[in-house]
Amino acid sequence: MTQAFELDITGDVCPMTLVRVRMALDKVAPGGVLRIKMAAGEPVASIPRTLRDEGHELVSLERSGEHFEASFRKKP
Amino acid sequence: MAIDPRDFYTPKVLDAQLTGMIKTREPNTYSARLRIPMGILTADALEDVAAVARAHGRGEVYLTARMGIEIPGVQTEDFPALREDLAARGVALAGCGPRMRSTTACKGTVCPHGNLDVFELAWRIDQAHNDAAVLPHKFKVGVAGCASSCSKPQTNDVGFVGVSEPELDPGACVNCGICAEACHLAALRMEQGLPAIDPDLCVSCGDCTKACPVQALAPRRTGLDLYAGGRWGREKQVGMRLGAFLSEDEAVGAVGRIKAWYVAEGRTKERLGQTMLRLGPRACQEAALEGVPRGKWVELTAEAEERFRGFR
Ligand code: SF4
Ligand code: SF4
Ligand code: SF4
Repeated sequence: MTQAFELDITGDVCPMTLVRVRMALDKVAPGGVLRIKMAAGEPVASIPRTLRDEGHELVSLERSGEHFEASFRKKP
Repeated sequence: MAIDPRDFYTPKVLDAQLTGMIKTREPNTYSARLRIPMGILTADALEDVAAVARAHGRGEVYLTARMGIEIPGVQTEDFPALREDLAARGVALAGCGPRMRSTTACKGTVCPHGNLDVFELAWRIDQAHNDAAVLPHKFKVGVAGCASSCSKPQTNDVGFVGVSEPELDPGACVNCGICAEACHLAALRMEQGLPAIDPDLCVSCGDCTKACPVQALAPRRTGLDLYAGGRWGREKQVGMRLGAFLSEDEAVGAVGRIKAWYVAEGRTKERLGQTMLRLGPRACQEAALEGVPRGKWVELTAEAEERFRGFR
């Protein structure tokens, strides 16, 4: 089991949120997991959808207070 | 139709208005308005426009509020040569005076919020209905891909907004609450772990269905809302919503039927919104939605009619 790659974008605003997700995704091997902590509102309304549309799998999603934590498996 | 544009243009200016020549304050000098539906131009066409602006204008262009291009500084006697030069390059002059304008569109075809291929619908409307016919007054059509209305279709004589009504599959929902984060209008709230939508607040923008990570919210129906009678001049009217969830074919047809109604009923120098106020918006709705299922007709309430009266 490979360790999940962690990214915190709670301090970023659009479009840096997605830019940082893309940069992080580049470092994850295909099939590996990227765990992203993001703010409520616009980031969580757009980032899971964008990654899903690009073929990455959403493996978990939880709310913790004002933030969401989502894990994605990078497409093989 | 009892319209003779000579009633309100001197013959010389009339001829100019017929051909995309816009009068300017400089003596003997016109601005050439180009026909650029949806504001889309290939890079090659842009170079053609640049060449024409150098040859016949001042080497400048002006971007209009309706996403078009004008070439300023064209002398009257140079207009025939400019027209030939443009025609040889496949660029047309645009409608001005009492005619239909180039159809405008937002970038909903590529925008993540878009509910339809906006460029294609706008192009179909422009191809089907944008001719040189003389109308009572100017006639503008605009299309937007969602309720955000970036291209301001409700300020056009006829406007369309792409709509998408959400429907929940409760079994598929993972109760994450992202849909509530995506809704800008607080029309969707989480109640006992599931989204609940207030139909009075929901504008069918479809953002919640697009944001749902597991597609538990999906469009129940999609289509186009029809607005008519908008204008933004000395007097302002926000277009009145006459139809909901029209198909693209119904939308293209509605433009033609509204235009025909306006030609038949409109008075010279009267915008569509004024004709609708004079004869009642219902008369326009009946013409616009002829043959469209009744379920797509929006009920015209007294409040909506009151709002439609407009302001200065
Ligand atoms: S109106 Fe909607 S679809 Fe069109 S550009 Fe604006 S947000 Fe995007
Ligand atoms: S369609 Fe738009 S307005 Fe309606 S509930 Fe969904 S996000 Fe909110
Ligand atoms: S975004 Fe989808 S899965 Fe999450 S609560 Fe809304 S409907 Fe359920």
